[in-house]
Amino acid sequence: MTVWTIDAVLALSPDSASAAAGQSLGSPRHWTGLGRSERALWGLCQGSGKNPYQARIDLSEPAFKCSCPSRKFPCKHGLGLLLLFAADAKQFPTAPQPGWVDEWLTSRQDRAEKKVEKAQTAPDKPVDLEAQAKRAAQREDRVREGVAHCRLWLDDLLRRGLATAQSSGDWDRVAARMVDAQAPGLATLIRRIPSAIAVSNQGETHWSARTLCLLGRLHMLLTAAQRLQELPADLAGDVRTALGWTQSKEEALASPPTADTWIVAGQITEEDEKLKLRRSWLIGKHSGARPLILDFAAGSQPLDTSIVVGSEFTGEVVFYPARLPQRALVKSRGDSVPLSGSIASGADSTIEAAFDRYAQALAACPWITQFPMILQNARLTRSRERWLLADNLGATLPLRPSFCRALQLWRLVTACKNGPLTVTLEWDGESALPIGAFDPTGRHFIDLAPRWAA
Amino acid sequence: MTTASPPQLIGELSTTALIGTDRHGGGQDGPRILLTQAAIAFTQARAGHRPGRGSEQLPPCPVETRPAAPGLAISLLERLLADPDAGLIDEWCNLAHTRSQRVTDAIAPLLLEWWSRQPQRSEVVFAVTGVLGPWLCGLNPSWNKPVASSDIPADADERWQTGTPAERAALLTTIRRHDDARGLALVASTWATDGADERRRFLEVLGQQVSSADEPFLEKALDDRAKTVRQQAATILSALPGSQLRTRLSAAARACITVTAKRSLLGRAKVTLAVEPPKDFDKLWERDGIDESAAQGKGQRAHWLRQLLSAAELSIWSAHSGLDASAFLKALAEDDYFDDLLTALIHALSITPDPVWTHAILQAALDRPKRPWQSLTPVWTKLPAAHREPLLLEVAAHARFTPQDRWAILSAQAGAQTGAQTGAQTESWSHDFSLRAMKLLTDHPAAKAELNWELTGQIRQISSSINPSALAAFEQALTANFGDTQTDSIRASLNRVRLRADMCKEFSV
Repeated sequence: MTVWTIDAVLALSPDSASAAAGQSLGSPRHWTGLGRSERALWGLCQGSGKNPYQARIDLSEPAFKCSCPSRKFPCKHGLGLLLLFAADAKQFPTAPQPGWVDEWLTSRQDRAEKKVEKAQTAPDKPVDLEAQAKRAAQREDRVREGVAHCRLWLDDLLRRGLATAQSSGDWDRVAARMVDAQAPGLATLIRRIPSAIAVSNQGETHWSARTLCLLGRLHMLLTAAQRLQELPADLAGDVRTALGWTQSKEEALASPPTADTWIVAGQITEEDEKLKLRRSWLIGKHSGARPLILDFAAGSQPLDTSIVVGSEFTGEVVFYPARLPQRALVKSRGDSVPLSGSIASGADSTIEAAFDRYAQALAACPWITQFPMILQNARLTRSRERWLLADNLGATLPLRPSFCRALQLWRLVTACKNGPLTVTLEWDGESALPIGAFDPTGRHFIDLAPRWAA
Repeated sequence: MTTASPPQLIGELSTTALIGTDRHGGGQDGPRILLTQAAIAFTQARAGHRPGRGSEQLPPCPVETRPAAPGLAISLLERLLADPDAGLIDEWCNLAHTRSQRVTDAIAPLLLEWWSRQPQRSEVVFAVTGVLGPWLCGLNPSWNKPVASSDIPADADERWQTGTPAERAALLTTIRRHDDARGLALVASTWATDGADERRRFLEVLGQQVSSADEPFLEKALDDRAKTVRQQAATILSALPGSQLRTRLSAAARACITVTAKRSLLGRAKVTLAVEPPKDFDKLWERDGIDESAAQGKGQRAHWLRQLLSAAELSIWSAHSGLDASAFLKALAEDDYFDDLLTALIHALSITPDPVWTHAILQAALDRPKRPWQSLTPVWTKLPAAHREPLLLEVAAHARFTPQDRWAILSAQAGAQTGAQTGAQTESWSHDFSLRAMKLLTDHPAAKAELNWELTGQIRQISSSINPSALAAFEQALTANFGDTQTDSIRASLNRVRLRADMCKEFSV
C-alpha cells in the first residue's frame, strides 16, 4: 500500500473539475462509515440522492468503485475519499470489510483471474487478415504520397528562403495535409515550427537557426521514410514510429520482458486538443532501465490509475522494439507500494554522465524529443537571474523558462532548502523540465509536474 | 563539406536558409544539400551539448522551529487556495498563528503567491509561512516582504529628508507602527518647510494611532497657516479622549443645556433640563474645527449644537445635571432638540465607549419610532464585545423591528466588525451571542423575512462573523425563514460556516 500524498491523488483525477470537486469532498464532514482494511478503503458520502454513495478503493492498484452515477473515473467521491486518507489516515479505523466492499473486491479478483485465463486461451474473434492487410497497404500508400508532398514543399521552401514563409497559416496547411496522409508524426513536427519562429526572437538563438534545426530533423525523417525498405528492421521501426505509425501491443509483448522493481520517477500529462497524453517515466532499481509508459485518453475518458507517481512496484516490463528501447508496457505487476529507499544505482551521478547517455541515445535514434534524466545530488542555483540545476561537480543545466514562470519552481526551491535532491527531468536538447524529486532517503517524492489546477 | 566549427557552420547555414538557396547560387540540389548539412550539424550540436559552469548557490534557509499545522487543516487550506475566499484564508492563518503553527513546505509558495496579490496583506499570513516566508521572498522579488520592525531602514532619517511625498508617508507609517515618538519627531523636524499637502498627509498618518503624547504638536497645528491642516488637526483632536480641544468644547456644550432645580411641595428636588442651542457662533470654535455654516435648509443653531455636543465628553453630563444617564435623557425627551441631542451623543459614544450611556441612549433611541436603526451603528464601533453583545441582542429583539430588520441589524454589526479589522485578529461572535442571535432570527412572531438581494448579502455577512460552533443554529435560522427554497448564495453562506466549523475542528485535533 502506497503512502498517499495529496499530489499523487490529484494526479489521478481525470480533469481539473474532478480534482476541485474531489478536494471539496476531502473533509471528514462529508463522510460516514469510514474504514480500511489491509487492501481497501471505504466510506459513505451523502450526495444529492436519498442513499449515500458507497465509495471504495482497492489500494493495491489503486482501483476505484462508487455507487454514484458519474461517468468520470475516478469520480469525485473516490478522489475525495483518497484525499482524506492522504491528509489524515487516522480518520480510517481498521475494520472488517463491509459486504459491499467485499463483494466488489471478490469480483475484481474473479475478473482478473478470468482475464489471465482468457489470455492463455486463443483469441475468440477471428481476425479478417485480408481486410487488415488491405488497410495497411492503403495507409502505406497514403503516407508515401504525404512524404513526397512534404518533400516538394520543403525543397521549395528552402529554395525561396525562410524569410518568405513566416505566416503560421502556411505551416498549419501543410500539417493538416500530413494528418490527412496518415502521417501525424510529420504534422506534429511541422506544427512546432511557428512557435520556434515566435519564441526565438527573444532568445539567444536566431529564429532562422531554430527553424532550420526543425527542418533539418524533418528532412532527416523524410529521407529515411523514402528509404524505408533499405533500412535495418529496428531503425525502420523507429522511423515508422516517428512518422506516426502506432506499434501494436503484440509487438511489445513478443519481446523479452525485464523483471525489476520499478520506481515511478515522474509523470507528466499534456492535453492536446481532444487528447490527453501522459508520460510516466519508470526506473528499474536493479537494471537501471528507464521505460516510458504512455497513456492516452480521449475527452473525459480516464487515464490508467495504476501507475502512481512516487511509488514503486515489482513486475515485468516489455519494451516496444526499437533501436533505442524507450516506450514500454507493463506486462505483469504486483501492488503499488511506498518507495523503499535509494534509487542511486540507476540514477545519473553527474550531468556530464547524463549528457553522454543523451549523445548515445541520439546516435541510436536522432528523432527522440523527450529524454529522461534522473540526476543525483542536484541543487538549484542561479546565474544572472536564470535558474539552473547543478550537480555535485558544479556543472549546470538551464531550466525551461515555462517551469520558472510557474509555481512549480518554488516547490522545487522549497524542497531543495535542506540540501541536494535526486531530480527527475525531461531534457529536450535545450532545457530541462523537472517533473519530480526524491529526498536523500529516496523514500519521499515531490511531484513537480504541472497540475490540473495550475 | 565545410570545416567550420559547429556554431559557425550553423550560422552560415541559417543565413543561407533565410535568403533561400536560389539566391545563394545553389542548383537543383541546393535545398537537399543545405538540409543534410543542417541535420548533421544540429544533431551534432545536440549530442555535443555540454553542461554550463559557474553559478551562485542559494543562501541557506534557517532552521524551522514552528510545528506544522495538522494534516486535515493543511488539506483544507489547500482547498481554500484552489478556490480562494480571502476571509477564510485569513481566518485559517489566524487559527494557525495563535497556535504557533505553520503551513507545510509544499503549500508555502502557494500561500505566498495568494498573499502577494491581496490588497490587505496580513502579517499573520506571512508569519504562518515560518522561516520559509522570508527566505523565499528573498529569492522571489515579486513576493514583497511585509513591513516588520527590523525593516525600518537604517537611513530612515536621510530618506525622510530626500524621499518623495508618497515615500515619506509610507516611511512614517512604518516608523509609527513601532516607534510613535520617533515618527512624531521626524514630522516635527521638517514641519516648517513641508508643503501644506504633505503636512496634512503626515497628520493623517499620525491620526491613525494617536496618543496624548502627540497632543501638544497637534494643538499647535490648530494654528497652521493652511486650512486643510487646521481641519485635519481638529478632526484628530476631537477624537482623542481627554484632549484640551474636547475640554474647551465640553465647556461650550455645557452651556447648551440649562439646568433648573425646583423644590416641589413635598420638599423633593425636581430638576428640569432644557436644550438651549448657542445663539451666536463663537469665532474661537472655528479653531477647534466647528463648522459655521449648516447645509442649505438646515438650522444653523442646531448644526452648532450637534457639533459641540458630539465633541464633548459624555462624563460631563451627570456632573452638570446631577442625573444619571437614563434620567438625564428622560428629562430631555420632550425637548424640541432631543433628536439632535441623540445624534450627537451617539457620535460621542463612538469616541469614548461607555456601556451605561450606550444602554441609556439605545433605550431612548428605540422609543423614537421614527429613528432608523442605521443611525445607531456608530454606537458599536468601540464597545467591547462583552458589553456590545447583550445590548445588540436587546436592540434586535425590540418589538419595533421586523424580521427583515433583525437580519439587517445583526449583519450590519457583523459588517462593522469585519470592516474594522484590517489584517488584525479576526474576531468571531461569541458562542453564546451567536446562539441567541440565531434564536432571534428563528423565532420572530411576525411573518418571515423576505429574501431579496440585500438580505442575501446580510446572510453572507453573518456567515463570516458567526461563531462556527453555532452552525446548527444558523442552519435552523435559515430553514425557519426560507424553508427549502435555498438559493445558491444561501447555500454558499451555509457552506462557509460549515467550512469554518471544519477548520476549528481540524485545528483542535
